[in-house]
Amino acid sequence: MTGGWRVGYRLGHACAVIATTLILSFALLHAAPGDALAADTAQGGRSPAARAEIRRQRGLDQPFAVQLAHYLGRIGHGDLGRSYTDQRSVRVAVMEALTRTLLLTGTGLLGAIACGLLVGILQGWRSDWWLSRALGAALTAVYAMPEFVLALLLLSVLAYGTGWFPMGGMYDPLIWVTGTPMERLLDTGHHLVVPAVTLALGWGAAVSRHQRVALLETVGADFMRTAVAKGVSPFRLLLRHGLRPSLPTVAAVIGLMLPVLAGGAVVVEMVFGWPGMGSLLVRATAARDVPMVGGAMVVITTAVTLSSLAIDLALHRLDPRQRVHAR
Amino acid sequence: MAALLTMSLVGIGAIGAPWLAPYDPTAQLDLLTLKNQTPSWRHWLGTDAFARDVLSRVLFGARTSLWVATLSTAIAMITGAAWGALAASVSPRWTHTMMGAVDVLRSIPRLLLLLGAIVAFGVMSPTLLAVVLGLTSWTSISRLVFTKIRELDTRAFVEAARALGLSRPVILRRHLAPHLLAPLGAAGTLLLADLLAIESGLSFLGLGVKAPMPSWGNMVQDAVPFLQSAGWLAAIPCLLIMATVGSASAVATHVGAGSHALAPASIYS
Repeated sequence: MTGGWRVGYRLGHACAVIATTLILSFALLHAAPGDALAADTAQGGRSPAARAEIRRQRGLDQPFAVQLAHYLGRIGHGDLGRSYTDQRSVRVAVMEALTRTLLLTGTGLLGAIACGLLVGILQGWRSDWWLSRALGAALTAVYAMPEFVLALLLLSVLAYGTGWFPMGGMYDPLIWVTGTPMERLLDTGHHLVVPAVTLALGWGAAVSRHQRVALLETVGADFMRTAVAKGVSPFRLLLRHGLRPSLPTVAAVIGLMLPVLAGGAVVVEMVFGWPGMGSLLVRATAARDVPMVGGAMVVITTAVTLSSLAIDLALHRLDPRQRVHAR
Repeated sequence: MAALLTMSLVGIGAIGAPWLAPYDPTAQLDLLTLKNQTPSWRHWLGTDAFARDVLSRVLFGARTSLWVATLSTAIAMITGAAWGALAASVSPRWTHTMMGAVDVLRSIPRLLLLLGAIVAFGVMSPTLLAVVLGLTSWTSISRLVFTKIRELDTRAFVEAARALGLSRPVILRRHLAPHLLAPLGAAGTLLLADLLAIESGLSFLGLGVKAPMPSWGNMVQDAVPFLQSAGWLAAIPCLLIMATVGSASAVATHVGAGSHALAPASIYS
């Protein structure tokens, strides 16, 4: 499809996704047993008449569509409701958790890109080297593990086994209270290492596979032979001729991983006790804290959709081949 | 090959669990003396923190995990194939609507859909869990079926069938379906691996199969406090999960998935 149409379609799609999520979140609030009243009614507290009155006051007896409109209005103002468990504002809780998660997943993603690209390039460029094969086998094994297995493995080896790294959490309370900002920063970083490495290895495995395949395809191409015949130095060869065509493939894979940035590396966060979106979601689900889950759902999906949209449109502009072929 | 052998072993273990397991998987045998015992002649895989026989839990866990994985795969395949086939057979406007809906559903992170369902339903039996998993995972199958049928529709034999006056359902059943078996078989096996991994992940987090019913995932969760002291308690279910998921993926590759997404997916893809 032509450029303009494409952008329009993608925008429309993004809007549809966000709208669907909002409706689903609202339906969740509505459908889950125990509406908002259950949260602040004491055990066997009020009479049916009093409950009916409170319902009327909060607009809980309005038709579905009216309630939906109210809900959307509240969301528009940024009010995501209050948690069933501790009455905290959902928006505040989610935003705090989101920043903590982004710290973790951002670092993990950077590590994944670095590690994945390096190993992928190594495998594609020098595939017969023993190191390439060894790393390749190791990453395949990692790729096949469910996240929690990798997380537990790294936890036992790096934290329990050697004692170099803390066993979990985001910071040491003692340092947080008594330390200087620099010490606090270092401490958080110290706690960040093992979970970030877990994420980096897991994602890096996927990135490296794609990089390897893309590079292997390129290496056999005719233009590469031409470049070698012209006498281009190996380094320049790799950089300018080999890696360029694999850029879109790898960028696409990285784009695919964006959803995880916001969604939170749920399992890793739970295993390492990292207080981010993942832990928040799991605890809220276990406690059946519907507003929290719904609110998190809306925030995460919106973040994911918008970032995917941005990446997709940016990639489309960056890839010269697509611009040529588009009608 | 090795992968098929592994899967058969797991399958036999799962189906035969009630007869093969030496003990009741939820029976706490002798809390004073039998906690965290290393493997021995009486308990081939040892006992766990609640003095339950690990081998029995592993067998019944295989049963539960495989039941959830298989049922959810079946539901996903049936829903997906039906949707895809229908979308490929109706008027263009409906096609756009149906596949547009699939696109939207695909874009919502699956984990969020799952958690939403779990919150709504509360404690779920394995069967209900399987239904929920199946109903959130059918989009890839529907896209596969849709594209394949659209591609087949351009072929001469379909045109011939239409010329003969055969109705669309008959064409679908008699002429198109046989071509779908191979790709669907591969995609289905891959989906099985994927859903098994997801179920383990959810059970590990305490959101899937609930204790005391064993599932490989929640067995790992139970074993986390004892990583140093009784490492095998975590290692055994982990290895089993990896082996089963890995073999399913390997089988799928050989049947010829040809897709680039070959690994057991994470819970948030």
